[in-house]
Amino acid sequence: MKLNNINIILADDDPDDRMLFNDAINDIAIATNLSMYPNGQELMDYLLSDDVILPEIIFLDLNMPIKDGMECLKEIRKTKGLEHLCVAIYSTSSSEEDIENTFVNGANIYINKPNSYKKLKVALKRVLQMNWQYHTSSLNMNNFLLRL
Amino acid sequence: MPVKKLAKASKFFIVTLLLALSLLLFISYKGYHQVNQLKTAANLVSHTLKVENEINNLFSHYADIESTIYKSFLEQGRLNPKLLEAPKLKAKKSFNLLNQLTQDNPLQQKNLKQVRNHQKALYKYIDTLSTANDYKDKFTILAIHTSALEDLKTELLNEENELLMLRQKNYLSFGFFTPLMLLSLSIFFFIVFILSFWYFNRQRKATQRTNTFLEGILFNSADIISFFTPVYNAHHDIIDFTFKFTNKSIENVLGEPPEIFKNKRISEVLPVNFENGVFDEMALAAKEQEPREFKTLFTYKGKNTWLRTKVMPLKDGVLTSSIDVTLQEKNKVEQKKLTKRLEKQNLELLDNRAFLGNIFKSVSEIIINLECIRKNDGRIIDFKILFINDAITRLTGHIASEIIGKHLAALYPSIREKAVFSQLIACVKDEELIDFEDHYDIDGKLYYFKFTATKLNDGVTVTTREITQEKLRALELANLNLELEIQNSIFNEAETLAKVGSYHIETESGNFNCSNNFFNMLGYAPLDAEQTIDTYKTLIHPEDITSYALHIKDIFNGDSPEPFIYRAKTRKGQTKYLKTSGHFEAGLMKNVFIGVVQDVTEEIMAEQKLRYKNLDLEHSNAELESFNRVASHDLQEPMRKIQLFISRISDAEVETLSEHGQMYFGKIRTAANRMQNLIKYLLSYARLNKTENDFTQVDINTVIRTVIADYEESISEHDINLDIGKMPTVTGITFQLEQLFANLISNSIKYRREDVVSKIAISSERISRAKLDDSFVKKHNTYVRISFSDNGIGFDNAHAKKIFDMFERLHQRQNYSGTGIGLAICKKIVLNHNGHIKAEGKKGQGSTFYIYLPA
Repeated sequence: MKLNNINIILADDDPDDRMLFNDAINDIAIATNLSMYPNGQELMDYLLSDDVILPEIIFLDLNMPIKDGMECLKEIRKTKGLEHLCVAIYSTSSSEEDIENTFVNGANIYINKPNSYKKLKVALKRVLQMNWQYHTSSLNMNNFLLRL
Repeated sequence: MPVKKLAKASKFFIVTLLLALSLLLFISYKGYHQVNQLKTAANLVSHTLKVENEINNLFSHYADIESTIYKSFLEQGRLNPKLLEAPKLKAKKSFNLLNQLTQDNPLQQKNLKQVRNHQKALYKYIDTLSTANDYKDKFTILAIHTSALEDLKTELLNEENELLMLRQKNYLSFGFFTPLMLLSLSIFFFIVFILSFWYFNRQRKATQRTNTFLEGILFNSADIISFFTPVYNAHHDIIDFTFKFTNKSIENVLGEPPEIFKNKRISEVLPVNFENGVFDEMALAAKEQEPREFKTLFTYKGKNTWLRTKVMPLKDGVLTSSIDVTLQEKNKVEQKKLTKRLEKQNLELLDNRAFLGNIFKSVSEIIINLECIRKNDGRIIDFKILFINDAITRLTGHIASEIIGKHLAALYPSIREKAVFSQLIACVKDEELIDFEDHYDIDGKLYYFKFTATKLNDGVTVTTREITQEKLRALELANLNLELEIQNSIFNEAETLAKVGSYHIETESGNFNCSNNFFNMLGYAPLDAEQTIDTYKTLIHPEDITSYALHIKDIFNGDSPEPFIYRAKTRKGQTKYLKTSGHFEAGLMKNVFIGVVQDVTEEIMAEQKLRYKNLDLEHSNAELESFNRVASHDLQEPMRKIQLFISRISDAEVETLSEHGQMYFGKIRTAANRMQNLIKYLLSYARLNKTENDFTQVDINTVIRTVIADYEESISEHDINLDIGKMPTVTGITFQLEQLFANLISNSIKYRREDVVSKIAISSERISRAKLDDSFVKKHNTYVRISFSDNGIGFDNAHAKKIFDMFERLHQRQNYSGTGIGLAICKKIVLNHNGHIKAEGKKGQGSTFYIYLPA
């Protein structure tokens, strides 16, 4: 694990998506340390464990077994020490309802899972290169959804 | 007449009697005179004798005095004067008496004077005697005096004797005459007495006859004849009258027999006469001795009688004769009243005539007084107009005053054929009030008249009124009534059809009236049940009865209750839902509540069914939505993965495929893309089902700008010419409107013609609802019509409606990549906005979409 790399976490129950995400992260020229969890429970267990290394950004799928993304988001924003974590929603759903709910609950950005690998890479690159301080301070419903 | 004869005879007799009486008086006087003279003569003789006697007395007293003197001297030697006092006094007395007796005889008086002188001388001498001593010569002197006195005595006596002689002579002459006189008088008296007796006897008989006759009159007379004698007081004023006689007629007035009044004073029996002035009249008559006549109201024992009374004064009283004039008096009063009434009636009659005249002038009725004109056989052939008022002018143009006196049929010849003529004749014959109507054609117009005819003398009075208007109005009314009946029947019919009943409640009286269908709705004939609220209440469902009672109570409190639905049982036992509503009428019927009851059973049932269906629908909708969502999402997931892997392959591995393999791989990619589009559209279509309530004011200009920005790439890529006019602001949902225009623009781009420069023109205008066709539901008065046209491939206008259906595609998939959902979404969005969308197309030339949105 390289110390200067960006620590990112992906919680997604779909192994294909995890694989493609991993491929795309590796393909873009940004040094990252990616850890992945198949559901929200495992993510939260890790985040609440003693030897946790808090990531710069967490990609959170919404539809997950055991504990879904929304629950995780709420828990993170409630937990001391985790509340300032940068959370990117990474979901197939493009429904207004989901977008609105996650925005209200404090997610930092919403990414529709793209239907091409190219787009996936573009999206990840833009998210990883994002100036979060600036983005968060001017966050609104319009720039919450990442447009590709 | 005996009375007259009697009166004449009495006159003659009275004259004779008076003559006889005067003669008698004269003779009596004469006789009396004779007797008196005789008496005087006798007196004179006795007087003379008395004088003679007195003379003798006097001189005897003198002689006594002389003798006393002598005696005194002789016995005592002196003269005692005391002895002389008694004879002197006697002499004096005698002298005085003599003097008195001879007062009428101057000669004797003269002689007496001498006597007195001698007496004086004598007494004087006597006085001297008392002192003298030598009385002898004194006696001589005394003797001289006494002799002188003796001479005088002789003279006096002579004188008296002469007188006596004369008087005796006188007396003797009278004494002869007087008895003769008395005898003749007695004879005369006797004759007069005989005559008087004879006459009085005759007179008495006559009086008796007259009396009987008078009594007959008195008793048979209707007059009350009474005789009264006055009663006087000390001053000789009349203070009362005593009934001396009254006849039987008094019984008629007083009710008491006449005997009761006899010798009674009127103050005792009829005090009323002091009040009504009768007494005063009687007293006046008695005082003035003049007859009086007067009339008084006589009240006795409560009975009023008017009496006219004549009072005749008689010598020792008054005779009254009273007639009961009560009847006359009453008649008089009656007559007076009658006269007054007549006068009043006369005045009223005059007034009435003037009034009648005015009435005749002002009334619209024609009033005619007709007199029959009869033939010799009595048949009425015509009528003469005695009076007609001015109202005739309006009808026939005749001046009333000009046709008075003319003959009716002569004036209006056609009248003979009319019913009115025979009716008039009938009225005269039957003497009955006749009322009839008739109509005439005057100048081509029909006029109706009403006649009222009354017989008056030998003629009729006719009042004619034009009743054309009334008649027409009556006809109109009848028509209206008929119409009303029809409408009523229609109303009843309509009520039955509409399952509506109506009722009204007069809250003041509590009257409850309802229409036929009110009870009919529950299967009761209108008369099956007494029409009261209470009987109606028994039909109401027990659970609703409380609410219904409150509803009725509200009405009686004057509040218009809210419409309310209750259940009632029909005659067959079914339950019906009834909705009642109503209100109080304003104005005159403000206490009348008019209510309508509607059978809403079907509606309620339908509503219930609908509610169930709605629930079902909501349920299935929710299911559908979740299915839609889940399906879309879950479908999208593998789809995305397929595409991702396709992109991975085409990025890195496609070159390794054979040519066929590459072609197949290309088809896989196209199919996958298409699949994803389908899913996406389905999802967005499904999302539109959710009713969005966040309608805001949306500026279409901004919407179009946003959409164009989204399609910037394609537009510039295909060089599409845009012509966008000024758009309005409408009430809508922004993202839906954006989707609407996005779909249209993408459609236009998709179905552009390659051989021409593509053009898209968007314009808008306001349009009123009247100009819209009827193919869509118009809820608003004005709409905004947005026209969206292009010069693309267009379509056959026959499919203009079809193109909005889901999955309807007009083009080959190979040529154009439509999903068949885009326009369906457009239609749904427009409908969501209460608008309407339609399309016009011309194959190969372009299409135009018209979007109507409420302004």
